[in-house]
Amino acid sequence: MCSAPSQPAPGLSPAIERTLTDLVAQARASLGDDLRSIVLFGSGAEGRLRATSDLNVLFILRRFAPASIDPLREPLRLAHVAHRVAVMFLLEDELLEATEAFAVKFADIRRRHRVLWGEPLLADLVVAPAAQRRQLRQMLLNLQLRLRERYAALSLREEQLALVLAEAAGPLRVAASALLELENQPAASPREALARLAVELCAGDAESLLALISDAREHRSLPPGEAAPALLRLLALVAALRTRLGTEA
Amino acid sequence: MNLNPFDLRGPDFLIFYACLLGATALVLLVLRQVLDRQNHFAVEERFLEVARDPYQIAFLRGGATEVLRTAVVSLLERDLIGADGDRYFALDEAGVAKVRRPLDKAILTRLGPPPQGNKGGADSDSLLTDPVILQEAEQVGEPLAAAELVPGPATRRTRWLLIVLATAALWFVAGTKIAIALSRGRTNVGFLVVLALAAPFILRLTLWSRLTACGRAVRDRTVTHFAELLSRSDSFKPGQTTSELAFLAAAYGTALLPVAMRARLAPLDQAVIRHAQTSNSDSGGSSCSSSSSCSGGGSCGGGGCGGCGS
Repeated sequence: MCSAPSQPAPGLSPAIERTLTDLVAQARASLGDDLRSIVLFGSGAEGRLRATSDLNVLFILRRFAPASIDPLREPLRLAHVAHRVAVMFLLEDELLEATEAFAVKFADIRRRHRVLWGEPLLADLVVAPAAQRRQLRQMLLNLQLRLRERYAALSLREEQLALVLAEAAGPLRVAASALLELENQPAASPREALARLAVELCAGDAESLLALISDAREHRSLPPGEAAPALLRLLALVAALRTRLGTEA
Repeated sequence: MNLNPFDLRGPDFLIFYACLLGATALVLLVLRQVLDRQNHFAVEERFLEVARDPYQIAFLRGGATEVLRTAVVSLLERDLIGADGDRYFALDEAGVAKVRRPLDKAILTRLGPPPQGNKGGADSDSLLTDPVILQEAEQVGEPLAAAELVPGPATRRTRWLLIVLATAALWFVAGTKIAIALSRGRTNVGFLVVLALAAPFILRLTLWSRLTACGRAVRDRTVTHFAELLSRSDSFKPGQTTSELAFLAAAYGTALLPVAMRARLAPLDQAVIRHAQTSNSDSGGSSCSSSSSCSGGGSCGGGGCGGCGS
């Protein structure tokens, strides 16, 4: 079996690199030939990990056998507790189906990933534009519905709305990135994608809204009186993204 | 000039003997560090083994008492036990069957079934003095002793041998001087006898450490490894953590837990302090009490101030 050596992921602290190195070693030892590839994806792969970001890792396996997974439980728990490592276990047979079902997510994984060990199984991943469009439509509608509910439920306590904004930013950036990719205008990063679309769709309002979103993500709070208006502006942005996406397949 | 120390007058010989005792202690200290260095390897591998187990982390930091505190945090985090005033009580009738660790089983067994009305559960003092719980907490240190992170059987044997040999030499010197003094009709040997009898205790204090050099290195490594966890501790909400609070308590002590959890641990923390003070006053030692992490030498271990190892 062809197996690439571990590749260091730039932009990560030495402590996180050690944790990932240990995890890779433990995974290889316990999973053996069942392990095809270990992939770091998301903001960790592009070296833009925030203090509050999860470190997303994908294990691609031949099979999921509890007997081989059990020895990994303690190393996984340590990695999760120490550095918020979150692992997705995917069988190689499920890759195509997962790409279809979670098209936006896997398009993002394809854009932002680093192979930590094993075969580069994602290099030739093809995410069908139709599947991406379908899922993106669903994502944006879901986000819109949720933001409306959160506004109604929480806007009397604006400190809780700030958390809603912080948590919405990640999916919104991924959605923006997917939308631009569908339009053949890919951005360098999801953050840049949202910035570009916000400027186009919100005009002068964009910079202040983006700054508030960043603030909310960084500090988990916003200045008094800002959270509710920011959420309403975010709702308007999501609606504008849906309109831009359109309803065609 | 007569250089025979045995010809020194009483007070002068006492000074000589005290210096000899000090020099012997210094030599033993150097020997201990030399012996420790022989085991000071593969720190990274040993660290990874320890770091996966919050109970071992706690033991390394502060002995069996810290293991018990971490276990209580873990059970509170898992909603298997609750706290009401000074009492802890089981929340789940099947709790004992759901936990894997013998220490967790011992605690849940001690707490009994979920209480009916105001009866049931156990207070902090009874948790700290339950012999089964204490034994299971001490057992957590067994793999650490096998890995020579805390002095294992081989290290202890060597240290005891050094103390015995050094004591024998010192007692030979004292015994010779006492014999000479008595043969010259001098009976003022009381101070020398006291100093000689104190020698093995002084040497033990000098030579003993709760952790080996490798153990201290691994302990220090865990403190830095979980720094990011510590920076997130304010964001932890009840019911939203899996093991974070247990690891936080293990690595840094209960004082750095979120406020809500600290409040539930306050009775246990106070009981630990009470027991430490009682133990120290019984032994005449200095106070060693803290509900926070014990850094540097791990001087807060066992059921009280376990700075002298065991």
